[in-house]
Amino acid sequence: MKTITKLTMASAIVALMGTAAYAEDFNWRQFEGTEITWAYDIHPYADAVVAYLDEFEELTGIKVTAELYPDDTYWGKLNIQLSTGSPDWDVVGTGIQPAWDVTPAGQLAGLRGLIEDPNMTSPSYDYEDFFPALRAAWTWDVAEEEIIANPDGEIWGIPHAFENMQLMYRTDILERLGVEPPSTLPELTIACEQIRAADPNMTPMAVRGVRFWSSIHTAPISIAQSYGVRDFVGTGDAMDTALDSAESIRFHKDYVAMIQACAPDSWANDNWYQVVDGLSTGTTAMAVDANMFGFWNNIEGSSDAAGKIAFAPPLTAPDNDEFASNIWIWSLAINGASEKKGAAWYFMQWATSKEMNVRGATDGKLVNPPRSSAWQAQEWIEYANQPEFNNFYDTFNTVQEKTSLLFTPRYGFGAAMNAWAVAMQEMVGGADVEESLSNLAEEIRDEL
Amino acid sequence: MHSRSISLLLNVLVLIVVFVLAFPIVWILMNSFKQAADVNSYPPAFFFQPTLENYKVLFDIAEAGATNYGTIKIQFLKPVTSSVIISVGAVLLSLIAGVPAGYALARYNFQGKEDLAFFILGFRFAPVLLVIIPMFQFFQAVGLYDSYLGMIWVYQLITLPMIIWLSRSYVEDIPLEIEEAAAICGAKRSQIIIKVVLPLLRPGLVGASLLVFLLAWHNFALGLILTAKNTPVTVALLKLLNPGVNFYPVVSAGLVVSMIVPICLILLGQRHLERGLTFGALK
Repeated sequence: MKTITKLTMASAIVALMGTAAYAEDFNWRQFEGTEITWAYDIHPYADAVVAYLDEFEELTGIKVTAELYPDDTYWGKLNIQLSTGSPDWDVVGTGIQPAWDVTPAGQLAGLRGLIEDPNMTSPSYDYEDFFPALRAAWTWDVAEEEIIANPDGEIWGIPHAFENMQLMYRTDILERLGVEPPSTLPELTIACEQIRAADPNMTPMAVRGVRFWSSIHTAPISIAQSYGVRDFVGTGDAMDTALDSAESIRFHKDYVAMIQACAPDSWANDNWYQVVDGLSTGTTAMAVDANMFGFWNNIEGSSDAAGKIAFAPPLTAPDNDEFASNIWIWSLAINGASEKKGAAWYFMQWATSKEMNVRGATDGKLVNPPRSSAWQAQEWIEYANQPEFNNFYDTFNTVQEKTSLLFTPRYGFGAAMNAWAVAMQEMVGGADVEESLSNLAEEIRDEL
Repeated sequence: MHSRSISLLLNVLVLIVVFVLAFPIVWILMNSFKQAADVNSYPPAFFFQPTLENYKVLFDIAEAGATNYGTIKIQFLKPVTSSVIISVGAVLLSLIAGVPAGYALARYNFQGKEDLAFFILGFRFAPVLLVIIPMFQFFQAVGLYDSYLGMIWVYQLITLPMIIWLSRSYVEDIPLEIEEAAAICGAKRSQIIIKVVLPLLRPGLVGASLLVFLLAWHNFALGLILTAKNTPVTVALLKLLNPGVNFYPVVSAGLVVSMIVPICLILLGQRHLERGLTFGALK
């Protein structure tokens, strides 16, 4: 009850701070009367914004229509909207990886000009407040079907909230079975064997396995870093894949052994839904996936797992304790074909403002908030450190230092990484690791 | 004794089929009146404290957030209304255009008649995804995107071929002599069609209309791509799948509501539906 009172007070303070911040010397009503459409995945991140849309409309006089679709459907529809040059959606939710494939064709609008224009961006917006790794990940230049790395290049999206990859485990299950949380990939394989021996009905470990790059971007790419694996090396015409390197072969042998020892029979069809379901219902003991799934399921009353999910950094190679964590950043971007880019940007800067970041986070939805100021805000610190969240806050701070986008920015990202996911399925199915990686590398080289 | 055993066996088989067909619907109906905890309970709960909360959430009567459904408004009445407008409109337009076409195919002989008939039927074979992106661009260009008019028009891909082919078959079932008798009595062609043929076709057309209405009602892909605010109920159901919340009971309530309109129509026109399916079957 005390917590609720504190949170209510904190929310009230944030709301007052928000009003004060928006009342600064900045013309928020420049686009009064404009109507825009914001499209997004049906997601708690969308909830966090929808809850306060009335306030935005009151502040700016801009009417926002939220068009929301479930995950798979949303990506299909977004692809059609952008590729056909439809101006129908003004602001879209997207991620960096899909953006690599659409920015060379001008399907997203550049944002640097808007951010740096004092007539378009509130003085309190503070773009530098976003975590450096997130800003860096959204910055590049484009040339004909090319992504050109440039830290001072164009900015294509604003982080809305993000996921970093961690090991999550059910404290009650590991305690009951007498298993310690592992820290290396071979240790994980041994832990899985112990769990299976102690409770044959328990799935020791869940990770995504579907034939889509999203299976790669959680556990494999994060753990592979510790083995020294890179997806690509070199730049420009000299770029080459390193997925058939000795480091990659070593990693894949350990990873395939882990999947064979740990994952359920349904692994090849498992997406995040199944991974999270397993953890929240207690049919799975551990998972490597986005940390906010553990956070949401720890919220009191949200699931049977509430308060029972703890966090640890991603696993490492046996001879290297340096872990790495990949990120997925749900971000807001402006459709390149939008005819209302000014109003669209106003909505984006409000939705990604400091005030909205803290509000969304303390509402339990916008997790992880992408602004460093949010992680220093007292109300978020108090909320995220409640006992039900176990070691969520501290683990985030530990992992965030070693979190970055681990894929190489390039046009054609989707095709190559999908091929990696397919090869992973073949290897887990029994195909020779070296031969599979050699075939995968050849396939990718053909497309380079 | 032997026939009694067979009869008993057949009755048991019918009961099994009824159970298999009805169980998912009954289960969804039960889920729609359950609390989230009862939906997820194991073993499954057959006895529970019923609640109307899921229906309140569906129609936004409950306070947002009070039901753990998040803050996204659902407003389910709008897509139900949209589906009724689109499906009824599509069936009416198909009847207006399709019955004369079916009559012409049945009664007139002209070059390429069969080719034309199969071309029309070909729309039913074409995968919707094949035409959806050009349709999307075309609809955007001419301003039909997200409009009822556009949806009624594009739904002709589903409804019109069926109406044409069924009405052709029905007309062929009517003896030509009846029309010739009316002509001998001095009736013009238009009078023959309106006063003789259409009344004879009516039972079949009512059944055929119900049939194509169901096809239109259940269509998903066209509504998904070609609408935004005026989405049909099939797309609205998909939007209930919110991974951030426990959505099963609310989705169940949505499924129940989306079934009400077709079930009412089927109950009202059951006699005609049967007639529509068999009309013209015997030559």
